[in-house]
Amino acid sequence: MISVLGAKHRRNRYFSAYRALTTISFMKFKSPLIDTQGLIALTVFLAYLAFGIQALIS
Amino acid sequence: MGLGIQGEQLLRISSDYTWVVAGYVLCVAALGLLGYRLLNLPKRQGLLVTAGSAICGGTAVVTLSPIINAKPMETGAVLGLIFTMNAVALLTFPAIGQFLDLSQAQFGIWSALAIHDTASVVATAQLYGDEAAQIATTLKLGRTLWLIPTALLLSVIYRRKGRGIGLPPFVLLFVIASIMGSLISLPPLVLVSAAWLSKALLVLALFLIGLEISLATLRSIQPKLFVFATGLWCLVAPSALFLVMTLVP
Repeated sequence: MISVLGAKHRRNRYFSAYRALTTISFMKFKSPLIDTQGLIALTVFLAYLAFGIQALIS
Repeated sequence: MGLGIQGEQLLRISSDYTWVVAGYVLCVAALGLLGYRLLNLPKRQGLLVTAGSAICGGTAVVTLSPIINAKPMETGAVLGLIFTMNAVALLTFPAIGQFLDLSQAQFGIWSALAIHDTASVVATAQLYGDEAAQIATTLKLGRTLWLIPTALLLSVIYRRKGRGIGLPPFVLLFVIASIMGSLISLPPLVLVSAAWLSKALLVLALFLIGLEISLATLRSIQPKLFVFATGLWCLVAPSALFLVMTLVP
């Protein structure tokens, strides 16, 4: 019984640590203004501009 | 149409004229922002007309409306005005092009800059010729990409999360079709069928553009808004024509 409770406690502790880590990483990388789709679109726009700069230089 | 344009050609045309498109978009945006303040128009309608004229007509209006909290009536009036100008362009531009004896490249670039919506750009340029349509479509899609930084900038100003800011699907499909056309050697029957289908869909698109214009929508347009939108267009379309005739052979 004691060992079962210990295992449950350890599992809860690991789960809490995992949850804390994922929350921090989401908070860190989640922008308030742009989602993944927007980020992809912005990358495409910047690539379009980069090709334009390349053509202008050459 | 994307299947008929090689990836290399797509890249060359769009990169050669990136700065012409950028200059046009920024100049129209500056004129629009100045114009709506001079005419004392409501800010939201001023922004929608400016974005529609500078970037991509109805697509820009529909994308930016929720970001700037535009009311349905405001959006409807601006859309009605833009669709009417598209129809006017469709009827007049090919005749002007033929009168001035513009080359296919000149007409394609002028259409891509001066007409608001992508469907109308493609349709008008197609009336002038296949080469003009290919150039116009390629440049217009580049112009449409300016919607991305505009939507992000307005999201920052209006402190609204820019959900749904993404590549317009037709841009993505066109690029994928062009890459497919370059990488896979498609049988002539497929290419001919695709060209036929694109023309048939274009006729359908024109019909749908016509359906968008109703008397009720036209009546909802305020005189000041009409003066601003048409005035801006009447200023920038001939300027773009002059620029194209001077710079493009």
